[in-house]
Amino acid sequence: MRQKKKIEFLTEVELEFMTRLWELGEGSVRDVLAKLAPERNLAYTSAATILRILEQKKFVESTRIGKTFIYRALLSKDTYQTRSLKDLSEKLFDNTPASLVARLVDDYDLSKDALGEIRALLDRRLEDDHD
Amino acid sequence: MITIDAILDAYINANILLILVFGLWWCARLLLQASGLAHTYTIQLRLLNGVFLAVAISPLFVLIYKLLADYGVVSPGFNTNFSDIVVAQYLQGNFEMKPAQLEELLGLRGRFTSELLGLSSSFGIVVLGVIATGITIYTARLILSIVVLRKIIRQSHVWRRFGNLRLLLSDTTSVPFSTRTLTRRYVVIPSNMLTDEHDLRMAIGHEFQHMRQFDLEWEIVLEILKPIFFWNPVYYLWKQQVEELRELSCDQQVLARKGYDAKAYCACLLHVCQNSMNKGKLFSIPMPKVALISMDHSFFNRSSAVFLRKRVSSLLDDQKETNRRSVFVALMVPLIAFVAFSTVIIQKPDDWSQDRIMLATIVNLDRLAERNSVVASLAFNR
Repeated sequence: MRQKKKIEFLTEVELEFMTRLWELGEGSVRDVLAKLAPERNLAYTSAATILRILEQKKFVESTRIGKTFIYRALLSKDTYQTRSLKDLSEKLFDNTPASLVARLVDDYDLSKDALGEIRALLDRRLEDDHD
Repeated sequence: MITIDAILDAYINANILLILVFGLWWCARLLLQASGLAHTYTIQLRLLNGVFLAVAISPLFVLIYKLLADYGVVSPGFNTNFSDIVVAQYLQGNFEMKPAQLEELLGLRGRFTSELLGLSSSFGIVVLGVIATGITIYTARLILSIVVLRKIIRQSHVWRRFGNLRLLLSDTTSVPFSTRTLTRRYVVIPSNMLTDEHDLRMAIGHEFQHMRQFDLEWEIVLEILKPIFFWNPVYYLWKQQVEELRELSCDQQVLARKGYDAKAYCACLLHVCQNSMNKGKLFSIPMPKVALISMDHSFFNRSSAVFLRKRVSSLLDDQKETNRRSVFVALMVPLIAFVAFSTVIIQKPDDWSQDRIMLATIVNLDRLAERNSVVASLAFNR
């Protein structure tokens, strides 16, 4: 069978499912469904299909315990955040992360504490580089 | 052996027939509207497809007519050629025109084909060049659309299998659609639709209804014919009619069969439309597929928004189509008879009829009289 092109990014619904799986660590279809907002009203079969697609895309893996499939994320949240930010920086900010941070600081209405945290992060990073 | 002359002749006949039959179809549609049967979309779609099939098999009508003539069922003196009928009417004095003008008019098609085949004039070269370029461009577009469609299908995930039918989930498409190959049929659903059970059911029901109506097959045939009829505006009007009627008929049948709430169904159409607009125009080139909503903005297609409004108001009107087989038969029989008759009368005559020889003689006598009068006036002046 022809190998599908590797998919690097999640769709909106898949991201919602992955977020729940990251929170759970691992879980069955019912576990993930229980974590979704009650107004989601998603059918069991639809949720199972979404998890099966995530497995085909190699974002999760499953192990069968009895009649139940237990899903576990193959990709950490941090790795996916890095991948998404890199993509955003490349596509929207001409591959200059400084512009991305500048836009974030200018428009995100950050509190003094948040700005302080960012400064501390930057200072720490600069010190590490200096060493 | 089939000659280029015969192919060109058949091509011209097919275009003339398409224009004639579409005109007649339009009259039949007006008749249905006047009879309060404007909402009989399934009947109208079947009529339109049936007439198209009749045009496709029109060479068979010519063959049958020739066989009937050979076996003496049709009298040899019976005039069945359009130009011969016109000449007969002219000779009987039913309309007035200069004989030379009429002969010029009747010979127009012959001159056109000989100029095209012989490449004897710049007009012939330009027309042939435009046709050849158009056919090449539209064939390339068709191949490209098939490649893109194959890519979408390959990148989709198989959700369900029923015999030769595959239900696929796609991240790249925002509008549910169905298509087919020779051996497999596909219904492609946007994966985000999985989160809305109601919309999902309605979209699948809609695409299954398209399959029941053989809409995929008709769409593929029409797309394949596009490179051949690319220059003929009637082809685009015809396709637009088919697209409109198949969606209206499909909506009507899905509601009748499945008993969905009309408002919920309309909301589903609007959701899909909204998602499609958020994602941007996905299908910028026409493809051999049948989608839940069309985002086509080609010149001959009315605005997608206008058509969506028409679909919604038709759904909310709740006019159920009863099975009116009698209406279908009453319209289909004369339409096919007209196609058969038109096919026979537009054929190029094998030989000159007596009336045509008579017309040529009159034209020659006129020319002779004109020359004689010129000579006589010159002699008189001397």
